Amino acid sequence: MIEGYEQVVYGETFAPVPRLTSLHMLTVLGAKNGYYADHMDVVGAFLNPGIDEAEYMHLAEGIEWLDSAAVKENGGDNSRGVCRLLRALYGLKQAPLLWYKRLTLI
Amino acid sequence: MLPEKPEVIEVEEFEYIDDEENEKPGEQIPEIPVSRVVNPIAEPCRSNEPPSEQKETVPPARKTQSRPPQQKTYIKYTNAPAALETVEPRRSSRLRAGATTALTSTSPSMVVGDDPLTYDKAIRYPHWQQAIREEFESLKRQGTWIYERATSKIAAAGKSVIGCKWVY
Repeated sequence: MIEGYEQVVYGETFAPVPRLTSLHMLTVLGAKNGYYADHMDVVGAFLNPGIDEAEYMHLAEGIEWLDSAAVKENGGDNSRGVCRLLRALYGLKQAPLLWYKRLTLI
Repeated sequence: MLPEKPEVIEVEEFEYIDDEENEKPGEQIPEIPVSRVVNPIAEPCRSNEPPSEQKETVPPARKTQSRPPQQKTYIKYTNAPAALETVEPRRSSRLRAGATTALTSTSPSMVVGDDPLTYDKAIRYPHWQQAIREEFESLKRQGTWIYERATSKIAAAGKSVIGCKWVY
């Protein structure tokens, strides 16, 4: 999880979220009119959208045993290594907005 | 008429006070009016509906009579002044259903578990190590990031390098 509260420079972050009452209303309408209802969950939803500007992150704890490629890249000093995000991570300020943009493309 | 089996009274609902030691022989024991005593037994309250009519059926006056010896067990209850002098309708003390269905901070699913809070604590457990590895591999497979060297280019772009942490 990225510590998005450390982000200083960022743009739009608003992402619409339905009210629970709206969901209730839809459920009631569906029940009243006999609609078929289905539901789904997108696992790791925020990891789907690409990121539209460069965000840099320190390496995760445990990177030394998790990924040898990281060690190679930063010349053996993990504390100096960084990674540039290609996808939104959970905790990134703009992650919900990026996911919303991606979802509405469907 | 007094009930034949007074032991059906749920004793724990009354504050039982044994006054027998304090009784003087031949003392006139105030007797609870019959209707007041019989009512909770003959018409046991439903826990959800405290009977509002119960108070109305209770006569305000007490009649005084000497204690019949064959009703000794029963009169012990009526002799408990704290429980019977305040004639409240019998109400269940349990929480009503409905209030307990909502998720509260003490619901089992909301109680903070014993999951580790830091990487250092999680890494001591093999199953958390496994979980970390699986999560990391999943992120890597998604191409979530690429490694770079920290350079002055990042600061020049007005970007700071953000921290991250494992959440369990």
